[in-house]
Amino acid sequence: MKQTAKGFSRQTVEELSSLCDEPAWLRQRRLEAWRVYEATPMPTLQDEDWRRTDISALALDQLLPFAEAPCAQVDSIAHLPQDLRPLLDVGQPEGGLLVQHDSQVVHLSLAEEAARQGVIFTSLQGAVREQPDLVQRYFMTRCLSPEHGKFAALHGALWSGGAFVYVPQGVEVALPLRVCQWLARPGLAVFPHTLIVLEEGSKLTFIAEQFSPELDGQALSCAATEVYLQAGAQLRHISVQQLGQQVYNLGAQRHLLEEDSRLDSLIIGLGGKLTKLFVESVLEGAGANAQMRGVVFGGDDQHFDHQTLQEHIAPDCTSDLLFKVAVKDRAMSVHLGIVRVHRGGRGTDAGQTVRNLILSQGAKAHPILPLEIEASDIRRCSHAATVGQVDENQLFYLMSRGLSRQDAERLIVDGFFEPVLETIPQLSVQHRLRQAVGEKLGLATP
Amino acid sequence: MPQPLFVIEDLHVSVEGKEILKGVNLTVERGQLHALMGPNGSGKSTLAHTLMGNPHFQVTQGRVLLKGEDILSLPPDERARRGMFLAFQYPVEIPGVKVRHFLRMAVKASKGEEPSVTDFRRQLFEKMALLEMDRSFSERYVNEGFSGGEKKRNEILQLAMLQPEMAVLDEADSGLDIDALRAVANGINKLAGPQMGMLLITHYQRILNYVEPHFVHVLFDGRIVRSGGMELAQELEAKGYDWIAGEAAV
Ligand SMILES: Nc1ncnc2c1ncn2[C@@H]1O[C@H](COP(=O)(O)OP(=O)(O)OP(=O)(O)O)[C@@H](O)[C@H]1O
Ligand SMILES: [Mg+2]
Repeated sequence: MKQTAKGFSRQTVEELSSLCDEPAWLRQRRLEAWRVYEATPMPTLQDEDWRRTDISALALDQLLPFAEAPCAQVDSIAHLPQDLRPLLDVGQPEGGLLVQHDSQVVHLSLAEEAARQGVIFTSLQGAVREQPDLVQRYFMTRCLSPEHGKFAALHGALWSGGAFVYVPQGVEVALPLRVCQWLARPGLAVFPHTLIVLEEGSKLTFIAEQFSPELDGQALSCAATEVYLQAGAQLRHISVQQLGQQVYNLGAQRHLLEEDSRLDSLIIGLGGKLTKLFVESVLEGAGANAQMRGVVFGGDDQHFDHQTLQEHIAPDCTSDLLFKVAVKDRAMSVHLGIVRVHRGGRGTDAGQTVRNLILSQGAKAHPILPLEIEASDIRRCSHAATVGQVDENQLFYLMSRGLSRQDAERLIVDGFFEPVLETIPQLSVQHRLRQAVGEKLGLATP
Repeated sequence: MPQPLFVIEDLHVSVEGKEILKGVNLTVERGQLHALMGPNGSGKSTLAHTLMGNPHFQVTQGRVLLKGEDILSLPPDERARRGMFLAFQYPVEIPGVKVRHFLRMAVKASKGEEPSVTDFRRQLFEKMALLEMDRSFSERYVNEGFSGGEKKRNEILQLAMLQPEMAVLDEADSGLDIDALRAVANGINKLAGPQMGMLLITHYQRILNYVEPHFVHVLFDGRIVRSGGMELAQELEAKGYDWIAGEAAV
């Protein structure tokens, strides 16, 4: 089986590039990203962005940066590993499905209709071969560059796997495209990269899911997603994270919105040991609209840190953020939500709300929502954070109908998430998430 | 003689150190409908919540017997399972939880077994028809965005689905227009039967034109100061609560 040596070095980067048989320009990009990585200090609690998130226990030098999937690429999902299949929603109508196992893409399918419309949906490595110009132009350039931070740089140097999506002008993709990433090997670091480009006036629903079984040993998911929405394009983007509780999840997702484009993004964070996820919408064309929602549910000793950015560069843009967070046991959720309005952002309409439900005494939530406003004539800029326990009146009402305290609490938490979950276009995904939430609630310790 | 269904004995209740109920006594037999009237702040809701076990209210003295057993030390869910029901004056919103789902959970919890999907649906739609509720109502989130009238109907719908033995209805009539009032009253009449005891809390005589109580009690300043039949309600309506206040002061 092909793999690189443990730990990360310039040599690892070169090895990986050779292993993937890459063109020189890409190798150069990796090495440049590696240079940035080396020049960037490791984040510590002294850094503003990492003040409440401690990654010092992550043993980077013990991780394997690449491992071939244990099985070869298969055309039929029937040939994929047993544990993986239930997650693939066999039989559900789908526009396309890409499955990644550990570092590699093992399955790819695209509905005929979408292919006929000119939609490109392939592994990023495949796109490097087949669409080099597009990849060269969009990959980690204007949207998410290695300079974004330490782990974006590491990602740029060591990425493997991931998907490339390209929707031509005016094309509306009828059914969702779905990417499923399965991290099954302890000690492995995966760096899947998702690159999405929607040309003018096109329309897409994209669902990305990350899973892993419970692993016996640390692992790292360092994923990056960059999205270009050209004028008038519309994207529904759903990201589900159900990694095992040994996995560090250090990722970034960044959307560039040109004029009159519209983004509906939904982040769902359920798994992982520690998550630091940057979720950024950059509104750089007039009249763009970003709706950013999130559902986070932490239990045990899980730590979540979502850093969101609504960056208003162009005039008359709208952005709205709503994150619903529940924490139990000793879990902790940090939400650093920044609204930044540049001087040119007149007529900005921006709002952010982070609601935290504390289900156990030992659980904590820290919402921090700064506004950075340089424009003088904005329409609205509002932020609100709540931190509270389950409402006693609601509990009494439900218990007066015979529900035990525990069932009443479960119902209230289900209801807290439900209005968001029920908007997910794929019913099988909704169902899986309800189940995951239910299972987490079931294991509540007082 | 058979045991009475429900007995309140010398009940004293405080909220945040302030005594609100100062010795309430009341017995409700199966098949009886009692109306409890009283001015604002006399303690009607305090009594209702205490009977259902709201932990916010502290019982300092007295007993409440359901089928002979003191229920005061039991949590609300256990009281519900033993046959108690409270229709809330101010029903609570449960965002994100559909009426249908909530009722199913409630039926399951109080009956101790999961109703079959078809039985449950049939029952639900039957009861909704009784209360002149549109079926789409069951897909809405519990009490969220409900009008005052819809909330009250939803309370009676729960009563209908749970079929308790002892029901306390706290102002099931307030804020209803005449059609809604008729629907709610009609529901109450259909549901009341020889097996159920009911305590109907109200401000006004209005609902008593549709639902005829066997007994009427007047709560004033934490005590039942008068008991009688329908004529007491009429007298109250004619003379107002000041009349009771005047008498109580004597
Ligand atoms: N949660 C509470 N905290 C503090 N005081 C309370 C609380 N609930 C009730 N009280 C007080 O107890 C007294 C009785 O209130 P209660 O709600 O029982 O009256 P009521 O008869 O139901 O009135 P209404 O006709 O307005 O519904 C009032 O003085 C009220 O202010
Ligand atoms: Mg009241």
